[in-house]
Amino acid sequence: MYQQLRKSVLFFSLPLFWAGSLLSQTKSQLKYENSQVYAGIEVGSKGVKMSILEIGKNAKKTGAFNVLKDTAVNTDFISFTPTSFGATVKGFSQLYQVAVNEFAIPPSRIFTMVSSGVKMQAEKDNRVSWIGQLADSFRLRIGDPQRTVDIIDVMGEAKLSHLGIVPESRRYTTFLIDIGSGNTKGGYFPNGNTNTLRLFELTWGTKTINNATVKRCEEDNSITNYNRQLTRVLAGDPNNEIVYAVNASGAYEMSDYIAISGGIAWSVANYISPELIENSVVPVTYADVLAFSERIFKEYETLNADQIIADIKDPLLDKKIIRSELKKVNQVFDQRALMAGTGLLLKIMRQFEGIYEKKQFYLVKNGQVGWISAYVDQQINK
Amino acid sequence: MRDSKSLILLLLAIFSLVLTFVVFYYFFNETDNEKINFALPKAGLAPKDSLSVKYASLLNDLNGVPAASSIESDSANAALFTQLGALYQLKNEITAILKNTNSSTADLEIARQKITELQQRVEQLNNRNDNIELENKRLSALLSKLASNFNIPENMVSAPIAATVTAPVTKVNPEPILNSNAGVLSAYNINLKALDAENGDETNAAAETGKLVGTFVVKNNLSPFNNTEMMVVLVQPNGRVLQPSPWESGTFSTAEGKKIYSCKVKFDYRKGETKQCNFNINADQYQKGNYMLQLYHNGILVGRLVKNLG
Repeated sequence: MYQQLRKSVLFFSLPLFWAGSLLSQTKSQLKYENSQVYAGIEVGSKGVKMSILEIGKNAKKTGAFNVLKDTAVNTDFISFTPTSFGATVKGFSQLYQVAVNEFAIPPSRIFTMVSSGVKMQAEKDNRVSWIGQLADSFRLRIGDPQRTVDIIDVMGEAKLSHLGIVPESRRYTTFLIDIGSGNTKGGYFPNGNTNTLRLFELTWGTKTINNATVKRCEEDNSITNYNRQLTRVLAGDPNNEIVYAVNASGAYEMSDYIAISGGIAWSVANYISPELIENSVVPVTYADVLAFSERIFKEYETLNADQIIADIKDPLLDKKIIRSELKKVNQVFDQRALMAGTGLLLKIMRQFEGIYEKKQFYLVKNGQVGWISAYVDQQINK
Repeated sequence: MRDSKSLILLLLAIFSLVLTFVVFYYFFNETDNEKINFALPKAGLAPKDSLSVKYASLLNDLNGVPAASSIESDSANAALFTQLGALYQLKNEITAILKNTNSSTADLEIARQKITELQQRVEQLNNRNDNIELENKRLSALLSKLASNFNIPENMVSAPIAATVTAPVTKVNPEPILNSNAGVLSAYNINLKALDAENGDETNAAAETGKLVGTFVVKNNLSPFNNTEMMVVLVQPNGRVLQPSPWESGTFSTAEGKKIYSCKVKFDYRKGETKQCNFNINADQYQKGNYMLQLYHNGILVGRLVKNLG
């Protein structure tokens, strides 16, 4: 009985821990002069997510915003059961109260919305009315009947991500790609304005690549076999899909910069450039990522915080922050997951690595909150 | 009569000379004997004597170590000074035990332990000295190599860079770091201006500065460079590299390890061309003090300048 209870507690607390680890990039101090603090609370497919951002006066120009708090509560809203509905309403209103009471953010600077993933699933399951009911219950709980709860569609979310992450000066020359766990999506503005975004989508993400590789490994669980099978998986359907999707998007001709976000981009960026741990974006080359991918396979033991910090010569860098961030990466991605994600990242980058024309690649670390900064910007300029 | 007086004087002089010789001979002979007795004890040694031998050999090792008082007690030498102080204190303690004719077996055991400790400390100091010598040789070789690459006279190589960093005034166009290396470009006519945030006029006040505008000229008579990059590193008065935007900054590799750059300038270069390059740095705020601008090409420092903002 006790063991069963312990298992249940572990079962429910682990996803929360993992979500927290993956998303939390907490920084306690304000970074910019003349900045404002905003909160964005979003109901997503997996649960409710809150991001507290510091947005500087030059955020639009430089793409600089500072994530003060990033947290999530797993409620599984898209299962559309009374339990998940209740948990989502509770999580939604509790996070709102945290923003108001603990971070002293006035309601006018808190933005609440429902993500495109929820809307798509609700339409598929004929549960669109649940979204309205969720918004009403939330308003009732927080005692604010006028509170706006926007529902964002796929195109809107992709546009906002681009606007929030990429600085104004590179808006029309940057192709933004978000590598998720289950899929990859992104886009760019082809016409020199923000009216039209050309969408890009792949059905492969870090987890789907990892799953397909594990499936092929059968009884041989050695890392050598995993590497061999991963090469085969990547060379198959994912490669065909990537080549087709990149060609169809026309992004190669239209973009000078390729910015890649998602969990794998965050982890690779931290490993390759620990010196830039406080930067939201890290420039890399194809050769950098290729060398790193070989290191994961051949020298994974060197990818620990102590060893990486020992190689840093600059005495002015805050090694405490670097250590803490690298430990987080270690917790989120194990060797195989890192190999799968980096393999997919390389396949995508390869499509933009021309012999004569080389694109500048960026790994975006806080992509998951980028769109909220653009949403905030849109709302305050309305 | 006169002859007899002279003879007496002569005899007295000879006698004095012989006496002086005898006294000096006796004195020096006795000192040497003492030395020999200490350094070379006879066979069939008692415990105290064997310790004396060990101690004497250690003292020989100590001859190469400078006296604690001869080390300047500035912060850099503080650790060495402390170590030497401890070492000499240990030496005095051992001497006191060995000189004491009434020493017990327990005292001699303490002396043995102290001598072992002294031996270890002397070895540590010698090892450290060897390491420093090796490091000095390595750095000298590196400096000579750099000097030959950049055609810098030897006396300039040894001048500390820190001296230029702390210069209180703007130093426009320092000595160009010329090089005969085909693999890198030389940078000269380096200039860095601070522009007023409101009217765009040049200013030297940190509070008024809106952006920094830099220019420099590159040249190499031996090689062309297609799609090459010049890394601009602007070190702020607090020692950190100024990063105006994460989209412009990054890291690059040098012989000393990875460095952060503030921005980079990309261009194509034809062999022998005199090419003017520009860059802008827009930061939220600027600190007061000296800014050190460094230009790197292919990981090698090819130009630098100090700019002061008051």
